[in-house]
Amino acid sequence: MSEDDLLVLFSEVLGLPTHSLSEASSPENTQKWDSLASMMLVAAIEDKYDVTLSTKDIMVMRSIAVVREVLRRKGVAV
Amino acid sequence: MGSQDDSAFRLARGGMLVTFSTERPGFAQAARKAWRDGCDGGGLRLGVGGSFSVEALCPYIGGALRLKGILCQTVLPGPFNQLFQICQAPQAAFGGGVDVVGLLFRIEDLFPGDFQAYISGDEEARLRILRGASELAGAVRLLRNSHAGAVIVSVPPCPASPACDLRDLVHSARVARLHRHFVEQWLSELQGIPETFLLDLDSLQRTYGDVRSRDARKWFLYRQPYAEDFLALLGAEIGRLYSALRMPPRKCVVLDCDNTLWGGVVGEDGLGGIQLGNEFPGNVYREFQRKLLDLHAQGVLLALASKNNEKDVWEVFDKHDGMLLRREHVSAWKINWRPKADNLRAIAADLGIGTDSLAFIDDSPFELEEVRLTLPEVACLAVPEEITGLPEILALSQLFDRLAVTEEDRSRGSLQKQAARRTQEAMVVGREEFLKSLQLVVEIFPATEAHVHRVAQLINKTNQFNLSGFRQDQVEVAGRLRSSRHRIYALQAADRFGDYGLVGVACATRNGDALLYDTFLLSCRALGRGIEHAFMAGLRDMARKEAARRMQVVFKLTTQNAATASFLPSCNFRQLDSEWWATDIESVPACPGHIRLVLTRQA
Repeated sequence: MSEDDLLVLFSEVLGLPTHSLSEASSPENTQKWDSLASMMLVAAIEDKYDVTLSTKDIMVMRSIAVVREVLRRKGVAV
Repeated sequence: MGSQDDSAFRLARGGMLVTFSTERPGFAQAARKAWRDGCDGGGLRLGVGGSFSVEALCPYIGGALRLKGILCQTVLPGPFNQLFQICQAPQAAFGGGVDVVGLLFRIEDLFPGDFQAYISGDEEARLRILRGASELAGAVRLLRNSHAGAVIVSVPPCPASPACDLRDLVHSARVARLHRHFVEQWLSELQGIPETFLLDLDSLQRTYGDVRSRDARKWFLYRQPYAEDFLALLGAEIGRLYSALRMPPRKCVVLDCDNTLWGGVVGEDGLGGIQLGNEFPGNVYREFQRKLLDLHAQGVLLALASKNNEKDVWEVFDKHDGMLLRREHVSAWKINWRPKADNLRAIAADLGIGTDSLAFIDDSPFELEEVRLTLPEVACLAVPEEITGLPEILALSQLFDRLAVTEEDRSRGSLQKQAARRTQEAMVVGREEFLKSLQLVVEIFPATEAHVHRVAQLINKTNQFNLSGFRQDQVEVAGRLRSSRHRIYALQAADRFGDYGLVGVACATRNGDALLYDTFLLSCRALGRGIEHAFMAGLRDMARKEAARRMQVVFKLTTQNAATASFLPSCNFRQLDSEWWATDIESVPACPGHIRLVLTRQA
């Protein structure tokens, strides 16, 4: 899977173009990443990558970079 | 609406057939996508209040409605666990007016202290909780009195918070008892409140699986108790309930015969060779016929469209022991070798209903595809590969959802047979009464920025009732809105079954004392009810208001709009040249009597 895959997922859930997102994108600097978006991101990620995120995982997933790392640790090639 | 035949798709997993159409893979994802794709300005506004956090549920409700083809603008979550406040002041609670209010709650969320006390043995606490049920019902009554739209309230599930797990043997019986009393009280109080609809969250959770409906992570993280797939299902069921309120069920099921009503092909296997009876697979077809008879008893008409010799088919109906359906249950039939789409049209005409009121069931992918392409408004259901799934496709399709069965529904099948008059007059009289009963309201107004997207969409995709076929893109439409020489009128319609949304557009330019219309169109879902004549009458009134004396319309005949050729003459327009037709304002006929016309300055 290409690196863009995860960006595409974020782009779709947040309703933002991929070029406006980066590894540093987070709820602090991305207006559309609100609490509802966080819930929908969890759902989309679990659905797409067929993983189960623990509450520990969910709590640390506060930027695209960290999400990528969490997924890689679970064996997902992102 | 392309999902209609998909909704009957059944999965068999390890021998157990799944019970919900939402369990086919990708439904939750499709609902989320339908929600994100957004809505072009108009449509339903729902407000949902919950004793738990409902934010994550809202996209599933909205997505489910859109997948069903219902225009849904937004679904707003109310403040957390403030049901009483929502009932007292819904507009403030949702931050705006809403059409439908939904209230979802769980006993353990509303009465946490008393619930804990009760589990520990306090009987007084149980009585306090039951009084709470009355108070909540009172709040619902208050809401009902002040709110104009539909009110949907839930039946609470048996409490199973982390504080009290039903797998705990010590407490489960006590909790179950409380739940039974609460629900009994709740239902009896709600019975007295009119136009309030129940969402049985209890039964939904139980049927889906109490334990697998919940997700502890989401409860502790977000105070939202449900697993993602259950949220999608809950959203779909709310959408389904609303849909049953607003959209009438399909009026007629048209059935193929071979490998649909019985196993095998009667023309090849003969009366004795088809499979229909008490042994597999004949028992499956027999059960399917039983379900069809149930539908018939609820007022759905049954019809046949079969490629067969008539005598072979009737022989099965008359002589085969395994048949539950008999001739008297069938209101129309076309048994011949013509294309099924032609037969469907003819059946609809015979019964005096629209093809959009038909459901069609066939085992042949070829026949289904032909009908899907030719008559997309017909709901097509496939006989499933796993034949034991056949009897349930009717319920799963949700096409026949009906909230109440009236006496008229029950007797429709036989009334229809008695009244099989084929004279023109009879059809016209029936039609006029039918049209009046629709209680059509048509609203015409000058389009604004908010409508640009939808107006442009209609201009570019409407082909059937489009007099000029003149295309404009969104930029051009927006430009015209700003110009004082141009007019863009939008038409919205509703009948007693629901809102059609924005379905008509007319664009004109002022030239001297005339208004020149280069666009006059109506979405095909609004056709056949006189709305086009109401539109013309409304435009005439608008023209009169700005002291115009003549109206001119472009008409370009194409293969797709050929059926509109008589429209302008019927409005007393005369042809001027190859493109233009004209009339003076006073010659335009009045709005048809069965339509209430509303002209507004703004939407």
